[in-house]
Amino acid sequence: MAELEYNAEGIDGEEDGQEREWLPSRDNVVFLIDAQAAMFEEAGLKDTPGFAESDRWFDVAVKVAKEFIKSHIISSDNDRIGVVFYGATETGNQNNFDHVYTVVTLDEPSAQSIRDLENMMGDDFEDKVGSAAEGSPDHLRNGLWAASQLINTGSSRANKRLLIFTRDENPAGTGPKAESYRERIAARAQPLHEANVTVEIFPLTRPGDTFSMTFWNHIIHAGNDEESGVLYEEGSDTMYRLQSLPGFTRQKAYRKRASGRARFLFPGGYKMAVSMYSLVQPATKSSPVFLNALNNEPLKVESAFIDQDTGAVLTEVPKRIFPKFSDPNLYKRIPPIILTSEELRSIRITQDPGLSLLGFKPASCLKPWHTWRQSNFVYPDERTMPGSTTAFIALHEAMLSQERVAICTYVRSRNAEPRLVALMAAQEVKDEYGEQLSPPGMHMLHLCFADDIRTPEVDKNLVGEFFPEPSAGQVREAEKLVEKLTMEDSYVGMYENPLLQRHYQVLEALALAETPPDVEDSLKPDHEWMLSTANDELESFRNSVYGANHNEPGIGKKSASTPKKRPAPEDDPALKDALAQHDYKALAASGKLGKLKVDDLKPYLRAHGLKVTGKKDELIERITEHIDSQP
Amino acid sequence: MAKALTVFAVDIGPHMHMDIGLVAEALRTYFLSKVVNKARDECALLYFGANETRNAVHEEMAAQGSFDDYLHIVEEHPLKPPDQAYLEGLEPGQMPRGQGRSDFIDAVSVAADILNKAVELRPELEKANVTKEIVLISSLQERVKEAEVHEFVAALVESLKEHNVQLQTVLVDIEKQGDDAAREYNREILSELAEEIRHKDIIVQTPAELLGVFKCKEYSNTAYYAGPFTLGPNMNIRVKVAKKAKKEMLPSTKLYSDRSRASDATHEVQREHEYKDASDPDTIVPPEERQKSYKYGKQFVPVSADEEAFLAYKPERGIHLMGFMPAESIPQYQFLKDPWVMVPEKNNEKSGTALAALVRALHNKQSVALILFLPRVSEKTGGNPAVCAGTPVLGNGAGPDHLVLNHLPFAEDLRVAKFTSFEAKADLLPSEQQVQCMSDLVQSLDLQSDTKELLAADTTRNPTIHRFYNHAACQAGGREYPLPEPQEDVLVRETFLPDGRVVSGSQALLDSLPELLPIVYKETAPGMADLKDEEGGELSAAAFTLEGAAAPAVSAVGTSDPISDFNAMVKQDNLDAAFRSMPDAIVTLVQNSMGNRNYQKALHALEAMREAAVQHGRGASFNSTLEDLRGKFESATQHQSFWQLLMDQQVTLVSTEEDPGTEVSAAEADNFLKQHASKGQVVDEEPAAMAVDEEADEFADME
Repeated sequence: MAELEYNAEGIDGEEDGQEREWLPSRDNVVFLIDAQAAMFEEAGLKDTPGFAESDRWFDVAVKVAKEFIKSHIISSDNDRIGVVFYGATETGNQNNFDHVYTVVTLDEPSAQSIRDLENMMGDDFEDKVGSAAEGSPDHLRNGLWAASQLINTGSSRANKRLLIFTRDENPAGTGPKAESYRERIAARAQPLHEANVTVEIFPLTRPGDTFSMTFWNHIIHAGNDEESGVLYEEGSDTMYRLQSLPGFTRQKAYRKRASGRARFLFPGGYKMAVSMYSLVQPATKSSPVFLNALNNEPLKVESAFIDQDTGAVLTEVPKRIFPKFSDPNLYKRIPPIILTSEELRSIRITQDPGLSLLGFKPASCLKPWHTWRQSNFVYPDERTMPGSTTAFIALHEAMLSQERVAICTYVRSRNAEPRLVALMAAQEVKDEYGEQLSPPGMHMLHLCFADDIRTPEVDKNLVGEFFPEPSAGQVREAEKLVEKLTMEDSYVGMYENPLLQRHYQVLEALALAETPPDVEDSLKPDHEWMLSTANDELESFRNSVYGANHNEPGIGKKSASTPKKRPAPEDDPALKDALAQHDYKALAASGKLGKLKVDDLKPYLRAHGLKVTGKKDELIERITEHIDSQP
Repeated sequence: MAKALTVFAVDIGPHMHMDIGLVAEALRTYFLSKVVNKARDECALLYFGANETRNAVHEEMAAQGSFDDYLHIVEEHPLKPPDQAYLEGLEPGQMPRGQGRSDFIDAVSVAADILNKAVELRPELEKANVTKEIVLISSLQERVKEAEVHEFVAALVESLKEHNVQLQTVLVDIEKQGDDAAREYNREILSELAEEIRHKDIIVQTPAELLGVFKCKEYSNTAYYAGPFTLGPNMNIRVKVAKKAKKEMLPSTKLYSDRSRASDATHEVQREHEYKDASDPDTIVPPEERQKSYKYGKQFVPVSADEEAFLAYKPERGIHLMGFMPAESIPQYQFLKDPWVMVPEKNNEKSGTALAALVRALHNKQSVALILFLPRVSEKTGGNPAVCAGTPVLGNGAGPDHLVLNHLPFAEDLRVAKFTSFEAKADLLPSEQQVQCMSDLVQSLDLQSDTKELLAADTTRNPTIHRFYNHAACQAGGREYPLPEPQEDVLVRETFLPDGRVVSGSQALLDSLPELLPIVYKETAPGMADLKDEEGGELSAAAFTLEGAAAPAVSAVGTSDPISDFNAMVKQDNLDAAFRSMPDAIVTLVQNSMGNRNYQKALHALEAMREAAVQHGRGASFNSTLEDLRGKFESATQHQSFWQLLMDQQVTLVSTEEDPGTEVSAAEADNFLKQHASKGQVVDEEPAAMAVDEEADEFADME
């Protein structure tokens, strides 16, 4: 792996104690969408976000596939996704199975695959592919066959999922040959099972309609959950309802991917095994990659440590010098010490990874400022240490009933510093259809140390020393407002991140050489709703505090403040000295400003009243501009 | 610029002797952290209860003919930015223990005098942004002289108030000893003193509390956002938002190279990046041929500077109310990232009232505010939006009523996964008796006794950072102090290991667990590799420093030129040491190697060792080294290819043909190569590709 790669970054990351989570392996996902006549009835979906009332079932399925691809581009773009229609007029697939049309071949998702799917909606489908004239049990059989060929290309270690979208309860039909058809279809499902593919059925039915799983249960793989070693009951976890469509498209990883396993040690040596999962992981936009402008191939970045005295490339992890002063005079006050990586390692106390129980305390001891990152989810790991589940559930129940949390020392990996965490037991929550909303287990909250916590709220420089008391009436008005504007839903990823949405929508357009669209910003306070539900309360609260004719100024109407006086160089001897050190004009003229350190650039900016913040490149640009603008 | 003046008045009298080592450790880490993080701040250090007397107030009184005042108080360091001398005097065992008797009121007076004189001499210190503080560290067991004490305290309070001096007392109460009545009386006098000035009292009852009494780094609380908090279209509250918590890292260090021995060497190391063509790794691509791009699915989309601007999300900055929610509907485990605090604008009565009313209403209604948080938007890179839960926190007089803001996940941040219901695992459900046992344990293993909460986040220091500062502070004087083993490090032990007092009450319950809730511990279960104990040899090898080579007389093989060292030792007939330390050097080289950079060097060293082994009849020694290397690297996750290299280079065991002293036949030696070389090559293409994926994934979520 990174064995042969010489990468100075990685080492630094470790030294800085950067937290990383990793998700092993990738998913291969194939959408197998029925294209027979029944799919072209209008679905009549009302109030389902993302779908039009005129959408046909087939369009619904294609849209789901499209949204699925889009969300994977944002969150896990090395998953591979394919989309296949069965029961089509046209035949278009690698193995020439009849009436099977592969619209997106199994690959990492791309803008083109999204466009290809968009071109399959509405009448375009009829023009290009079309629905098979006659229904036949062979359609599904061929579809399964094609899908299993497709899904088994590439890495064998991927998690494999086949999602079937259909309205057909019983593709084998009811005729005399039904049983033999069923067997023939099931025979095609067999290789899927052998290749450990999870088959999921998405019955496209209106809410309230029933859909018999009698036939499909033969096709579904009664999968073995690799992570927890628990067998799924047939069909229990693999049937989706229309209601869960929006949630489904957002689903990043169906398979639970443990981000780690740990031994959970009690004082005295008793231990159980648990697995850790990242159910929340802040998604970020992709970081830029440099391409070779000549061939648009990604460049390989290599970094090396260069000894500045000899110019030699260092082959070993360099030592460290502490403290790191920008002002060398400070070394006169404290001589630096040299630390080897071994010393640093033993300072950082490496311990065996795992969780060690220290004790319990009431959940109310945890304050909202006591965590500094997203939590992890902890679930018993029966396979590694049989018996763990029973012990874990007993502990879970005990903690829930007493509303107490467990405080533990947590060591994430061999190189990680120990930290304190709190385990908080959580009850399973299901919706009215029995769909799991939040899983049973424990959440591991990463706790702050006192060194991490700041106390700005009692800093008199920030808050002053006078804290006005609201009257009982004012508090009452505020309470009325709170009552009125309380939202009904529970907060589970209520909003999409407009930063990511914009980034990827623009990228998608650029990838297809289209003009970037204007992206609507959906993340805004809903003033219309506020005024329609609580106009009176808003007004009475405001009047009770501010009186009728006053409001505090908003952005842009900053309270008048005297502009900061910039020190003239002649008034500030230190600045004058610093300026005299370098001939900025000459350096700028010869393009050598880059040779200066940031600290050498700043005096110029300061002396000329320019902004001193930003990256070095920006500072240089600013100085060059300023010098150019001078007569 | 803001600045802090701190005078420490530290009791070193007989009652403090038990804890003086801890006080010294707390102080030296504090002073070092001051130099590193707040270089302009000044500190003075006074000892009271000392054997001698050396302070300005005593001298002034003596000049007036009164020789018996302010005795046994020593001004160890005057008020100035702390330096090496401060640390040297506080190295382990260096802090004096006194037998003198002096009361804390006298010590605080001398401390106040130091501050007064400093302000007189440098009027700029009078400014409000210069924090003046006296820190009193004492067990308060030396009874204050009673004569005219109240008048004296009143005068002292006046003087402290005049310059706005704060008082922090660290009351050491670890060993209960001495005269309770005296302590009680002293505490009364202390509260009389503290009552009218800004003060903070800390009572420390455990060594860890004493060590953690000072933060490793103080931050000035600057507002990240100052502006309106909008409640609907027609109402604003002017607020400020500041960081409430942020993970504190180990102090930063700089790369250092001792490659150059020149006297004027800078020892600087720079990280340089090279961009290379993937298909032609020898070509370096110059900046003008580099095209910035972003990944979209499998594609890399080239993005020009203009287009880049279009990618950014540029809404208007601001903080807006979106609505309210019942507090229980947003459990704490949904919180992400660092928390913030929202306070009303300073000295703004209307905004203060409005926010306080809102906070109290939320508090009464057990609700939280849902807040759109967009504190800053840059012209170039746009803004980073967040939806936060605003939890009400009452100020209770110490500060304003305020909201703590916690980031909530966006839809994109959630990874939905389903887990089997516990009820569905009928055969694994615990019995009533088993649940009862756990219940009893949850109750008895109690971290919140009647008096105080143990391991409370707001008061528990990070032992690792403290350990770093303490280690560095000890080295400041140039003397070597070994780093304590983790289990001997007080703060590490009391923070990360179970507390004996807590555990003792639950011992019987803990002992009953293995029988009541049996768990099969499979040592070699697959996937548990990360839990296996690493080979014990690693630390001793790691302890081998790279400095050996610089020593004039070669007594061990270093890593910078192992072959020369080794040959020199062989020449000196120091065979034992040579054959003992060479393997260490080789292992160190390999383990410290970035990628394969050290492999050739290690290989050559090993070959030189083999050659010498054959010559000097030390084949057995070489063979065990080779076996060790095999054990370490053949199937290791890191540096496996080093072992490959050895096998490729046909480095095998020394056979009896070469050295009759070994017990390996020539055939066995040959076989060794075949056996282990083939094993190493089992690694096929497929898993290798996976490994790259994992690597990519691992970095995927880094910002």
